[in-house]
Amino acid sequence: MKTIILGMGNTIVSDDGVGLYVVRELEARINKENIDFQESSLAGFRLLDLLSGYDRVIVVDSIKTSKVEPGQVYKLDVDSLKSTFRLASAHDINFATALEFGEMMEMKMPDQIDIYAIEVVDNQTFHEGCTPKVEAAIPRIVDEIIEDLGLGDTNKAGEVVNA
Amino acid sequence: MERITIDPVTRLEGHGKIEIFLNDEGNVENAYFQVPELRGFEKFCQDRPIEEVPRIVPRICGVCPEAHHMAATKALDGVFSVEPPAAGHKLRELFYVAHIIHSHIAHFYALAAPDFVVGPDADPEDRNILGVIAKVGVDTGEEVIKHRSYAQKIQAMLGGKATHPVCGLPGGMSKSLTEEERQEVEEMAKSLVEFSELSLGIFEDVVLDNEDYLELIKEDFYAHETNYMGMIDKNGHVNFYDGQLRVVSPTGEQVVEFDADDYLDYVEERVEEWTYIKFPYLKDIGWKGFVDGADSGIYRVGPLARLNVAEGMATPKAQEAYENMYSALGGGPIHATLANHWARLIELIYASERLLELSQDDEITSEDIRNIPTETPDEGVGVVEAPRGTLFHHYKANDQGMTEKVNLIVATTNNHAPICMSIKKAAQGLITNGEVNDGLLNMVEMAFRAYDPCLSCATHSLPGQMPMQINIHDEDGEVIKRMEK
Repeated sequence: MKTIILGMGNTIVSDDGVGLYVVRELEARINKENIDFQESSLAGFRLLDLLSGYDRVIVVDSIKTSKVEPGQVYKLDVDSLKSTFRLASAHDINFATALEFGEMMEMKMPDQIDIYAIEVVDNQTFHEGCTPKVEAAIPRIVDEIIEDLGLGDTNKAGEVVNA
Repeated sequence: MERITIDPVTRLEGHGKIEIFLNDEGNVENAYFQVPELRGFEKFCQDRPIEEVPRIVPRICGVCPEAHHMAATKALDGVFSVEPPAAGHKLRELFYVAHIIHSHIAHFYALAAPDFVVGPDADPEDRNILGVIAKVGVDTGEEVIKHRSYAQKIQAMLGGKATHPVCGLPGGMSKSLTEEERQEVEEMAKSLVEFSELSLGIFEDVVLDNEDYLELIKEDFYAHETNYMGMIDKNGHVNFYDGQLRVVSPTGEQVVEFDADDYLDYVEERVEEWTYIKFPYLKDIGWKGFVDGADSGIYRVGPLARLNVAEGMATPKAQEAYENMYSALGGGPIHATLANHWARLIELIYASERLLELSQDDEITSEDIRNIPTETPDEGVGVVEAPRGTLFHHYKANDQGMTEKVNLIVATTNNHAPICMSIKKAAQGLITNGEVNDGLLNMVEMAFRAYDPCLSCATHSLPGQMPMQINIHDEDGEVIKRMEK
């Protein structure tokens, strides 16, 4: 299964970069054929270019609900995005619409979509790097995603075993 | 890991908000438009080498990184007191019109068309690009995909990266165009000219041939008689990349024409306590509140403003389309906010024709694309017409070339006061006796969508777009209706 792990966010706006940092870590830890890694701070139509041709996409992004602890991960599927966010957008098209549009155009779009949304503290201040609680959560989030995806267990040294 | 479905958008912070206040009779008393703003950009840039700034600014925005890159690059020409060779300017313009094409295609098909092709009061579930394609056909959808990717490909070819371009340098460009690439651009440009005409054709069929829609465009509650600002070339034609800035009055007389460097002599910014975003206005006229007319310093930018300040378009097909619009809407300046959609398509034709011209220019494959800066860095202003309107970048460096001062006025900030006014006026025209429904509220939103306000500084986090909330308050300030998307 051809898979892309897509980190979304912006490394110059504090915690907004967390998805990118997590994906960089995943790239360092996962060594499997058929898995590509990509960072993007863009949205809308431009996602079509990144996603077409893959069977599976795993998105790692930030979210700010202020309802849970920073660093907690929401696992979403595309239906939960559709039901909440697919109405006419304020700008360009959103993730779910981009996928549906690609399918409508008979482009090869991923069938399996998993979204990991990491609760953040600050995504509005220009700053390189995350706030402390989010920063501290990154290794755990990386472990959880690797385990959740069945990409192998990590040993104590952080190396992937049984991958 | 537990699978959770997150609550609706209300639970997300960082909304765009429209607040509408009704009076005792249930009519609109006031309306406000608020967006969150990213903080601390100047501080972030301080003490970094000034030549880094054009590589930082594209990251401000996930929608128009190329516009920021180009304004920054031009500002650096000023900081280093260096003028690019002719081929350097042409190459920059080629790159830049490809960006305009990319953005205008996305806006028309994803944002403007749903309101008209699917219908202003259609079910929001259908009122999006999917509904548009369902109506106009998958063949057209394929053309959209193809031509959007052409524009993207040209940006990547010259930009050095598919996103976040790095091509602009003080004094010129980093990479020239090979003959092979030139031929490829020329072929894509020819196709883009045809596609842009097709897009205007769809607009004519769907909107202009429909008496109700034409009336809607002309509705008084969608109009404001303001000043307009835009960039023009030496012949007074619309130009996105370079030229003088011209301001015209609501009756079309020139108020002023100025160099980018002098913008602070003509533009001032006002702060209001209820929002972080400032309100620019014309300094000579002054701030007279949220009112239109020649006595108010409020001006508008964007596609319609650019056409309103110009004497025409520099290319034949765009000029013809320009003449058609002004004759259909009774001459200029046009004050109908929704005519921005029409103007945007005329600009799409111009940008495509200009792309073709540049791709056929004898100098475009020249390798003389950069002059090396030799002066001590100081201060510079770069202005371009971003897809959404005039974009100012102003930098100051110390004599070691480290950044001291950064000031940006983005298109949506230039349009901030008019957007607020347009929302209020549309709300007053559409909401009476306390009767509010989703169709009417979408029509209020159409007033603001015509400006294509770029709220994307806040769209990095999920859901990948700015959540919008509209709150209707009764005479006691209580929220009586809430709409989210």
